[in-house]
Amino acid sequence: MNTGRWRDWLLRAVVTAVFAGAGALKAWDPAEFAFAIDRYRLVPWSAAAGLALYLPWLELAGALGLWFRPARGAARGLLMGLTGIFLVALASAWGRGLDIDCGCFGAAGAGDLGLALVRASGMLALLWLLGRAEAPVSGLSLRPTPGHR
Amino acid sequence: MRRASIRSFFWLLLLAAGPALLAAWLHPRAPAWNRERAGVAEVTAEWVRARRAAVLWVDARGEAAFRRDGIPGAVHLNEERWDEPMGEFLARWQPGRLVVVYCDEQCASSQDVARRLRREARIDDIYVLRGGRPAWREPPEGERR
Repeated sequence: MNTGRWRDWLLRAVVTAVFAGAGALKAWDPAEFAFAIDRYRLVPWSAAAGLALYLPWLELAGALGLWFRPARGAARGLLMGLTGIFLVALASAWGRGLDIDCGCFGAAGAGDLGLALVRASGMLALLWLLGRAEAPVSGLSLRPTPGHR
Repeated sequence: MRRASIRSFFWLLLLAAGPALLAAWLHPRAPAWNRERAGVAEVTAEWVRARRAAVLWVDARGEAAFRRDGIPGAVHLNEERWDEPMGEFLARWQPGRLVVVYCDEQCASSQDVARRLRREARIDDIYVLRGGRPAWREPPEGERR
């Protein structure tokens, strides 16, 4: 395995560990996660309950999809979308001065909003890097390869 | 390529929907769809400690327990003793102040009181202390604000 592949593999392992871990912890206690979503005061309770049941499994499906070549791009897009929405929710809560836990890892807490914003931005950067690392290997690059007309 | 990716994307959405539906049906900790039935969120003593300057305690236990070891500054309010202390509670509560209700370690009265307060006083920032009164230790004198 060359350096590029190692880097790709390592990036994917890190992203998978974070999303699979977060998804599993939330799936373990969806009631607690529903309260965490409710504290953002962005959606009504019934929507928070539905999201608390569905989002953890989306994170797990996205993490799993990263390891299947045909689904890799879609999985990365899904995880980037989830992280982007989460960043907007965090920024909105921060902007409104809400004093809440981010709910990033379900009942395990995981700290204040400022830290969560930094962590989520880091995850978005990792996912972007993963896309860049994969593109030449999976043939997703739109740039023509040298010598190709 | 793009069509394949979009198809994969929807497959992933569908893949997650299966266990989510099963969890809604079978998970012992599935959230109730009705907010009233879902109860009030529990918080740990550490969570409260980090915000204690903004906390208004409510002791939902009986008279004897409240006199024995009620948290200093707590309002004594429970289903048997509601109307009179409610006036004191409303006089001390302000928007933005967190309300934390506690009872003993194994009891339901803190959930009942918290739900009723949320319903009648229309307070959103209301929580139940996980582990009840035994979970809370007063911080050392020097740390108190």
